[in-house]
Amino acid sequence: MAELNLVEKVIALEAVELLRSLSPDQLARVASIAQEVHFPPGKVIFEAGKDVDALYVVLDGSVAVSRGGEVLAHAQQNEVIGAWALFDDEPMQVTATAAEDVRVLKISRSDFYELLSDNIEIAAGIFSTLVKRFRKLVEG
Amino acid sequence: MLEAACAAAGKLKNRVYLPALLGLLANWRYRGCALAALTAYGVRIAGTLGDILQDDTAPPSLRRQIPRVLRSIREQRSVDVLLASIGDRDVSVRAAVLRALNRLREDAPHLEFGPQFVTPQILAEAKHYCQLHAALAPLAHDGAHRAVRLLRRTLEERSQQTVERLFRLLGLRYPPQDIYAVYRSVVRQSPEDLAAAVEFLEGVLDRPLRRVVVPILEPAANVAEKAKELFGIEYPSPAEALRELVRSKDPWLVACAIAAAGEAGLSALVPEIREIQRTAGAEVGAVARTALAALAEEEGRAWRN
Repeated sequence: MAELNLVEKVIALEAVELLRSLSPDQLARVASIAQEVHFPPGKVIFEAGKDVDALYVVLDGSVAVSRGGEVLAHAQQNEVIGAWALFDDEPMQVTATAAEDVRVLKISRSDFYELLSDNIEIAAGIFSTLVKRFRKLVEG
Repeated sequence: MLEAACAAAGKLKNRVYLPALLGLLANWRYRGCALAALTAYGVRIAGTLGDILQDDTAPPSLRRQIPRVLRSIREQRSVDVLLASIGDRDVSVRAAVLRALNRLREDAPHLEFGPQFVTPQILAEAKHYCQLHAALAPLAHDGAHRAVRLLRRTLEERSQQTVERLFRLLGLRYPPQDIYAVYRSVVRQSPEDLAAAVEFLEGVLDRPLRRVVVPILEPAANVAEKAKELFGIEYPSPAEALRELVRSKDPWLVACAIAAAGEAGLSALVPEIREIQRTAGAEVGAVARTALAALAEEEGRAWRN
């Protein structure tokens, strides 16, 4: 399968809830730091107890998210795994493993911070989404 | 260590440290202390800052920081330097310049904000809005193609940003608080608010500005009519609209338009897309390659049928 181009990456990122309030221009800037990565079935994407320094957006396939050997959920197309890794350098609580052939977009924390530093409006958009999500949790 | 060095440079105000401080503006970790140090130099470096602001070979990420220094130096020279870049080709730089000017107007209302620079730029932004409107109109009903939807969202976003810049410019000529209140009404888009906004602007704006600004707030059909009347802008077919966007110098718009042409099977645009593939950077070139492959496949299918 051919690598995604910039426009295709933006179309994929449009479906990501965390990035929902960003404009296409802003998404294009995020897309320009997103790398396409493939994982064969059984390959561990990140492991509980270890540092993670990237967010992953699932493009194709399914990723098993587990804790202590128990599968808690499967992340499918357009779902994000490791979102908190962008904001927090604590080790992950869960392990993510490719359940089948998986293609993801990987956004590394250092590239993301570099991007935010020059694009405060992207940071504001992401904060706004996080605050809405938090408010929804608190207000039930 | 670097923070202390920045603070010391700001106290000494020796020009020899300027290149190093300007270099630090591009580094987010030290940007805050570099901004503070450069501000401490005061108006004597306004000309140097203006040179960088106007240098379109300098990185936009650096140029966007310059207005942040100038807005903290509340002197007429800062305003003059910023006004010289009010029509910069890079819209992100233009927006940063306007934000700084608006802040200076608020903090130092006694300064002169040169209507001879501001008025032509208001007219230019109004024309740009009408051009975006014309590009958007023929794409408005295509909901099937994802790239066309993305292009449409981009054009809508650009239109909103143009309206914001236009009101920021108006805020340099007319009472800023009133203009901001009108802008908020326009953004809210409630019919009552819009009617009140139009009434206010009709009463306040000078005639040449009223003629071009008020139609922008009117329903879409009226904008089309006014765009033709005021600026001679004709509304194109979808293929013509995409061709114009492919020819624009804006890399993201070019990428979206090429992807949209590929998805919509507009093979009439193949020569333009080939040219972009040959001349554009890697990212836009890759979009052109995908679109050309899709168009070739489409043509092959048409032949087989």
